Amino acid sequence: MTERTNFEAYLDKHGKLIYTNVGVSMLPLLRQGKDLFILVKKQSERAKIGDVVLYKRNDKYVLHRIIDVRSDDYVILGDNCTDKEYGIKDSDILAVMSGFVRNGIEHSVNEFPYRIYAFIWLRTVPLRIFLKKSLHLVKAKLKTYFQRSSYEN
Amino acid sequence: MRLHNDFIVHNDGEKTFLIPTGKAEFSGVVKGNQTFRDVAEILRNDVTEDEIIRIMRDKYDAPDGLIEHDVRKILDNLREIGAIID
Repeated sequence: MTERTNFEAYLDKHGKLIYTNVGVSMLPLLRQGKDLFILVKKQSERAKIGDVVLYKRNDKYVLHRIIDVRSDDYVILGDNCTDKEYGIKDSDILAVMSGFVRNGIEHSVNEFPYRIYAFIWLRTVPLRIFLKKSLHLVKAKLKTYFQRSSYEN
Repeated sequence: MRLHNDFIVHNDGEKTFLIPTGKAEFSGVVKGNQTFRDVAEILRNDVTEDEIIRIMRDKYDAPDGLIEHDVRKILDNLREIGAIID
């Protein structure tokens, strides 16, 4: 039987969703086309720092990590991103990741290795953002330099 | 025929899920029972419909025609969403 629905309705009905991500914003944790994530519908209590959450942004579904919990909203950042998102409210969050499937093996977010990964990833946000932006800047400068060199030659 | 690489099979102990990656045109989740799980596992290799039926007949004792019917139905559904490479 075919049931047409959206994430919200599916989560309302089943409470849980297993799906796959599009894009690279949650690397290295979730690899596009290879890994799956397992979500549970968000309940009334607030999400926690470090939680990976599914929310809606401009009619698009996004799966990123909470890096700060504020009194009225959250600050969110993809594991492979540099631009933080502000103003995400509880009402925007549809679900929280409870696990993921990597190489066919299911892992819970309560497992020790994942908690270590999340701990390190959270603690290194400023450093990672600095390094990624610096690398991007260096690449842009090098590209400009080599383009100029080839024009002059 | 075999399962398209743009789909991932996942068993959670109770149900089997077939989930498209971002490359697949189909968008959604396919949930199935034990029969679906068995057929999906067989389709990891390149097989014919007759081979699938033969493997299922070896595994299950079912009335004549039932296995063929169920396998054909599953394959039709999978073809409909582009999950099979013939």
